[in-house]
Amino acid sequence: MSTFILPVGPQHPALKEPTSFRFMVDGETVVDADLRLGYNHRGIEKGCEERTYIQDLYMLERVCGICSNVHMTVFAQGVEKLMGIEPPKRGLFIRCLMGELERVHSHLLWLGVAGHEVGFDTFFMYTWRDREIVEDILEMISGNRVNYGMQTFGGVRRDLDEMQIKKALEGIAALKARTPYYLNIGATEPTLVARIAGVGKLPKEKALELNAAGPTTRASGVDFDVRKDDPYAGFGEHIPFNIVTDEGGDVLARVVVRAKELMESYNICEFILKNLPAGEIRVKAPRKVPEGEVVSRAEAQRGECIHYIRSNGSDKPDRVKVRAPTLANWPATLYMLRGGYVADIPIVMAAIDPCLSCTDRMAVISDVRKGTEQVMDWEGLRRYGIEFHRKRGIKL
Amino acid sequence: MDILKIFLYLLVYPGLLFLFVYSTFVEWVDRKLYAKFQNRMGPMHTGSHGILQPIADFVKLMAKEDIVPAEADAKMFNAVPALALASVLTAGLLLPVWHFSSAVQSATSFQGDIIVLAYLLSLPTFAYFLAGWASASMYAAIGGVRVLTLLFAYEVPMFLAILSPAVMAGSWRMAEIAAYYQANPWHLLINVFGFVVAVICLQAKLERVPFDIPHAETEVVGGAFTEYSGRKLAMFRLLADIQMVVGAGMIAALFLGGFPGGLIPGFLWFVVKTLAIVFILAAMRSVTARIRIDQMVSFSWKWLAPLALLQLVIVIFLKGYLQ
Amino acid sequence: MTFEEIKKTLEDGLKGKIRELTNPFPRRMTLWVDKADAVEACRVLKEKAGFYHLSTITGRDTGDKLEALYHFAQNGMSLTLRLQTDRNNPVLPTATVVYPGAVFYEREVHDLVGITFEGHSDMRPLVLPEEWPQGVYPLRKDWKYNREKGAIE
Repeated sequence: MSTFILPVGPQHPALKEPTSFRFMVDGETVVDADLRLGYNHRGIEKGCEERTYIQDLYMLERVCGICSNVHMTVFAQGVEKLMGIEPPKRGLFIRCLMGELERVHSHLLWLGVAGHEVGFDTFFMYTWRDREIVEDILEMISGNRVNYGMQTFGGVRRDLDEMQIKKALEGIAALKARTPYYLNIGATEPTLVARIAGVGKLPKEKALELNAAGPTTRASGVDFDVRKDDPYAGFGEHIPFNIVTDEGGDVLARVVVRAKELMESYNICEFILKNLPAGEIRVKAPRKVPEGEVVSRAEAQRGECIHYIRSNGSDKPDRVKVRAPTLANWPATLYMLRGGYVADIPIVMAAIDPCLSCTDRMAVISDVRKGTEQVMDWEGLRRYGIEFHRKRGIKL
Repeated sequence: MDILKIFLYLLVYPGLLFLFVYSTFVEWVDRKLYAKFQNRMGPMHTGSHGILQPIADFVKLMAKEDIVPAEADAKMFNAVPALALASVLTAGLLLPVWHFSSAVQSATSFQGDIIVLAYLLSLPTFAYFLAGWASASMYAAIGGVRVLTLLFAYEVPMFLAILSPAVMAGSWRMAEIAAYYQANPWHLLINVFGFVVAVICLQAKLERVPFDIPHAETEVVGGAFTEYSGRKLAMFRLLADIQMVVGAGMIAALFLGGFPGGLIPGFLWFVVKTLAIVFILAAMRSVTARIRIDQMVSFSWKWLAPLALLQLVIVIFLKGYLQ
Repeated sequence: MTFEEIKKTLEDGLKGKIRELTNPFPRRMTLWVDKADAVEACRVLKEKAGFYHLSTITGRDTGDKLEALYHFAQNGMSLTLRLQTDRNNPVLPTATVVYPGAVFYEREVHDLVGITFEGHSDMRPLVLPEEWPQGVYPLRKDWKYNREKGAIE
């Protein structure tokens, strides 16, 4: 059978968000893979330059739905460095707690999605049901299930009281009892293991060479974790934790790493909730930021999240660069997909936990034609659209 | 009168209408069981506990716009769903539940009807392939090729498995096979391996998890049905339900002793036994993940086919011993 | 490695080619080299100084020049390599020969800031659409996004 091109995306049931893959397929084997991003561009980086820091903080929270808190944390701690202020210890602990709870909900979500990608919907239903517990805790603390709006310059915006701590501890204890079961299922259920063991192999050298991040690289045996390498928000000095790595380098290893990271995160949350220091939760931050530049990093659920912020002394940043972990993992993903089966495409792609709205954030799609001052009216736009599709062989 | 009877037989009971109603009921049972296994409610709103949901889905699909892709082979694209539906409906007529005497042979119960039934149940698979081929779509083409690959995996073990009860009973007529086991219920235990193989193969034939490879939505969108919509898709969905009923009925007739006791008890046995098999099928799909096509082929030739052969050997030896 | 150790390694490896080497915050350092020495700097960073991870590349418009900032990381240290190029002929050598993971970052910078990376195998647009006009780079300072009063308002 000769090779042909199998398009996956921009719209495809395996993708929860739009991106476009072109797979050169020979029968059931993938020969080559190519990637096209940009279906989710909202011009956030450009937009940041035109807004004040506090506006940017909330806009950057909307880079992504799942890792909203991480982007907020990274931006807040970067600007804090430029301002030269240090949040109080209680604020740092709550900041860290939010990050870990977010990691818990994201990893539970991912386990379910991974199950769904290989047709194991029962796994999906179970993990997502338990995910409600952590969503409830997050809602109780912040008032929201997705975009928490907890971080601000100089600390966090909401405090925890005794009642909330008690309820959060109960929820985490329940999750802690459930998670080993998922680890057990993920590592032993025969049909599931048949689909994920040895699939999407990423050897350690390749993980290092292609600069992969997060659980993807930790599952290849690289102990790269920003929480350890570049401690922030109370990690390192105050809050103990362990890095989870696995030598497998396949999708199974990534399932195991994520399930074990869940256990690690429960321990961190319990530690924080039991040892929450007394005191203020934030310090006052100035409106203007002194001139300077800073690189701010944090360990998002999917890997290293990095912001570069350059200030010019005014109340608006000169340049904000956002790099979400998914972009770092694409080269490794393309490597893993080559030579694999068509049937393995969804699970290999899902194994890095791609978040495409994180990846696509900096161009402005809606003004494609206005950029050249080539303004079109609706009729012109319609004709353009028909012409565009006709050139590509689609009849309208 | 005879003509009227034939029409009633074809269209009402056990033909189109009955199979339609019963298969939607079985789909509802399947969905409810699947939901219960997954800690969910399942359909709840249409009718009592959602019992009318499959019919509502069918009616909704019938009302939807029916699109034929410009590039598709329109004649084949349109004909395939009807042909496939007709073949499973015909297969439904052959089930021994509607015949109460094994002495009389008729147009729907004759020597060799088991072969005809198995053949008619296989036709939809080819229809799926043709549907995928005629759609002129990438996903449909891959889905169609996968349908055929899957067919090569499960068809031989399936035929070997249904062979053994027939050999044991010494007949190629389902009514007689069922009668034999009703007379010697303990002989049912001989066919345990065959039963296991047949149920697994039925799951594969119905393309359900873990064998839903041809239309794995995360890989090939809708497989062979990607381009289908409206009433043709409704026909495909209905035919999958009827296939489940007929397949379960066939396994019940061959491996579970058929449906003894005349009109009413026989029908009740039919309901009980098909639902029991549907329960197994629903449980199977809720505790497994979808396997890959190459794993399916090797599983079927490494395990299913040898097991079915072993069953056949056991049956041949026991038959010699018992006589 | 501490800042002092890295500083010594870099000064040995890049004799006289360092324009600036600072340590503005704890666990952060900045290295500035000429663009002609970029590949060599990358090589020294990866092979001698232990910066195995390239986090990302930031493209920036400083007003009269275009700047590419390479953010490298190792355990306990994050280094920013600064390269500058002319606005009129914005070309930089590719880092993909040393860091293959830079493929998408360079394409992204090329799209949005307009720096061409010499030696990169594939400079097709990655994030901007195919019909995006040539020579228009949204993240340059002279590009302003003016929302037209359109059908939505």
